[in-house]
Amino acid sequence: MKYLHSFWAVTKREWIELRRYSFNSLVGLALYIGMFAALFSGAKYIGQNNYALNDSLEGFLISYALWFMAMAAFSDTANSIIDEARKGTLEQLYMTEIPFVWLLISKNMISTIIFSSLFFIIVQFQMLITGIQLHVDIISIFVILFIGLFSLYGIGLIMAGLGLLFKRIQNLLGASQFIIVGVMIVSPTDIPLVKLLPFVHARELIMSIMRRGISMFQFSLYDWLTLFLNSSFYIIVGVVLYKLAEKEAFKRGMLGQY
Amino acid sequence: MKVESLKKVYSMKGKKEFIAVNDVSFAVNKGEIFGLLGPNGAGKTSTIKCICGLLQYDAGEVLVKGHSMQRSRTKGLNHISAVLEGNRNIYWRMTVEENLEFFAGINGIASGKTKQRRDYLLKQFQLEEQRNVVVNNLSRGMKQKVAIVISLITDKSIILLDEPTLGLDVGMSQDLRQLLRTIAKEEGKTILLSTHDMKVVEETCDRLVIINQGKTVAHDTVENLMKLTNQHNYRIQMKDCIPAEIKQKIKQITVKFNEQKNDSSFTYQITIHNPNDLFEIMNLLKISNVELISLERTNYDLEEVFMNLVKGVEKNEISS
Repeated sequence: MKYLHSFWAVTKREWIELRRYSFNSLVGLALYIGMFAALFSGAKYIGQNNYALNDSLEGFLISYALWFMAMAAFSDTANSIIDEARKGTLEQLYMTEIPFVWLLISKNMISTIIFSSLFFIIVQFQMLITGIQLHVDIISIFVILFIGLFSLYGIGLIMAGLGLLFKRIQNLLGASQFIIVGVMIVSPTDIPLVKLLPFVHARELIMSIMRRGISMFQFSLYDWLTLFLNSSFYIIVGVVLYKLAEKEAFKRGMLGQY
Repeated sequence: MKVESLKKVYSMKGKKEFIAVNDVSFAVNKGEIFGLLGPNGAGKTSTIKCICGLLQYDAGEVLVKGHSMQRSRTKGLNHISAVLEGNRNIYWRMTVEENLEFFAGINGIASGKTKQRRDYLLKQFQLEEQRNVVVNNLSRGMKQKVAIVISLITDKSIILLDEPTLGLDVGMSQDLRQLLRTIAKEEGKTILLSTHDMKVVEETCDRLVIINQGKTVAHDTVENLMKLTNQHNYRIQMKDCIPAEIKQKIKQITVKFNEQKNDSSFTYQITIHNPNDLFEIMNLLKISNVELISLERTNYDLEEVFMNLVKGVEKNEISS
């Protein structure tokens, strides 16, 4: 029950921050959509009515929206921990009997709901701008996102751990945007090992849902296992490495400094 | 709560190790306000953070209700809440009420269950009007009050306050000192506060430990500590210098005797064991035929006691 109360407290805080700073979020969303419209117009102008290009534009549309999601998910964990350390609230979060990792997982679950909602809004706008029609099976997409995003939260935890110890890691976080672009582009069909990267398989499954209208119930056991194992692996590695960084931070007394 | 031979060493890159806390021991009893006094960089915050389990210590032990804060930190945290680094530990973008609900929630307490306590604490701390104000819009003193209210919302028995009056104006600081006394008395809370403000300790604490450069300089009740250096000190101002033979006789009676020549007078600072010795001194002064200008008792306040003790450590006069 205690865990439920703490989950609810985190949910409420996220909602308060989202509502209070909604203008900022809306501007960010508008910029993303505006940038997409500009990129799409350029691509269309170059490709004219090329059928192959139209086909790849579908992929571009989904990849762009997923990139937004992945960026937000990945930086959310790292930035929020670094921000809490900077503000001085991180120590207070460590002063509860509820483990900090649970508070973090609670936050990630709420964030997934928020990011998924933003994803659906972006996709709707993109379809409106491009005239491309995609299959928006909300439940299937949400379930895949919910599981898949945990792999990126794992990477975010590694970054947060580095942030606790080395403080100024903004450049590293900035550079990682390009790595995520890579993750959104590389295809496991060409290089099968790519499937081991975080979120790649989730991206492939979402592509299948949106382009081919496949429901999550049609995915094979192999698909589900790959998705689960990929996310579990990265979140476990993330938690373990974060815990190591946390231990060092406890030793050096760096939890409240930034 | 017990702190036994606590030691914290920070490894400095390419430099010698820095011993922040060295063999510090004290115990805080239930319902007591205990002061951790020391100048900046004395090791107060490191000690507090070791007690909170936010800093791993290298030797010694911190026991909270019998639980080691190194080995069973979570169990110890059931009994502790803290305000660290002034008022940085709260969410400035949330209102006072939202902060209270959040911190109660992450401690596993339902919002509804704390409603009565929230009302009580906000009234006690005169924050009812600020209930729905975003913390960022409050004054420093108000923020500090909010931070303390947050530490009380979960109703844990031990409250740790790191520099609770830091940066507050005189009025607000006095207000807060009064509140701390009320909380300890009415709610039976055990309070450990670290400060370099002697007024806070003098007015609120029952006992204290003074640390300097990581080491214990003194550990006693506030009253005893003040008595320690508050022997019978007097300042006697005379029109002229006392004759040498009289001076010699006075020196034999006093513990300390200091003479200082001023522009048009002489000041004698004396310390005696027994106040009755003053009769004899006055008789000697009378026969010296030197005009007496004034006689006053000089009492140290805790600040002077503290300064003397800290100075003593620097000169290696006082050992832990």
